[in-house]
Amino acid sequence: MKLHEFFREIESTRFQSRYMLFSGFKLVRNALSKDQTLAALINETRRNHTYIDGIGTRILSLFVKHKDDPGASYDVAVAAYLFCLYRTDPLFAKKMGEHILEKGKLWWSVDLALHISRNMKPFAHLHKMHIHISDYAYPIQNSNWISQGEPKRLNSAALSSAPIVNGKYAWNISGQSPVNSPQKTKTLVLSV
Amino acid sequence: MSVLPTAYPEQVPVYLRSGDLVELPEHSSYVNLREYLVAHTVAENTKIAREALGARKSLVTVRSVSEYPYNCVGMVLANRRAWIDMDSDEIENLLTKDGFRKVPAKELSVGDVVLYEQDNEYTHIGMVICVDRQSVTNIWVLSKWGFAGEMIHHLHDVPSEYGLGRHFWSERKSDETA
Repeated sequence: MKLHEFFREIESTRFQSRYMLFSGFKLVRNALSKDQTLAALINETRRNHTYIDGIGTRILSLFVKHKDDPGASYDVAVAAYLFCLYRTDPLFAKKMGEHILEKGKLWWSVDLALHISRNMKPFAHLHKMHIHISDYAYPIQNSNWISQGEPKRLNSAALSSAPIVNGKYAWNISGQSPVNSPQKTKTLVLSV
Repeated sequence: MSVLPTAYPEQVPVYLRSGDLVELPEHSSYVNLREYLVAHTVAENTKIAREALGARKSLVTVRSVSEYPYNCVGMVLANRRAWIDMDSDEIENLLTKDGFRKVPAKELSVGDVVLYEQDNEYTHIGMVICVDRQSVTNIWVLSKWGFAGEMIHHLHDVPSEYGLGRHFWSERKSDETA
């Protein structure tokens, strides 16, 4: 299924109606974790990381599209997308969750954003990640060099303030090159 | 157990019969439910109920629809004034503190409540409004289906996600009979 087909299904009245019948957040979370459409989207997103960017963009576009509508009209879709991000890119989900909390107005999505915020231990999920060093990017600033594709040290301060690039967190890790090359910074892309 | 304030940003407290205050949810400070709820009509709620029940033959009647934010627990325990999150770990404690006790099906009476269970989790609560023991025992229930309306339905005519209604509670004293 293509991403836009997932969007159409998750934003359908049929999908949303089911979730408006729940009376508690734990029940919603259980239902999201068992939802077959969402499970398929999560699997596809794990295979194709560009989906992460697409899903994040979709959440933001729903905020714009429904600016003057009651929150219930798009809450379930946002919650479903956030749940997908949580399962595929927890850090990005946390960032999106913070955005959702600023917006208010939503119910299950806010609950889920708070849940993510409470349960995300800093970098606890890193052991699940494949780490790729994508390219040299910027002039070197300081000394946290990662060489030969092997991460030597992760600077937690840098990680926590990471910008989002193409739907992923990209940290500019900088330091002295072991081969005496000009000082450069590498962009470290973390993905699940 | 968390309770949704009904008049944001004012937080309306809900007390149990024991005197315990039901704790307000963390997210209540983020959400303005006046901006959240969609006013569904009776016809829309009827459609929602039919879709939820699927092919099962059912006689679900929409009793009421409301923009006021409350749910099934709020309907039973807070007079339709609050959204009290259905939390499987706490609902029994909440009922006990509010003077309820478990009763067997044979002692069930109008006004008692039924808890629904799915996968060892409580999912829903409703108020018993009719017990007919003429032939097969027929039990009818009034309950609020999430953000949808209040429904009058047979004990078993609920969305599949609610599971089965098989735990009965009553605040009647043990020597009172139906």
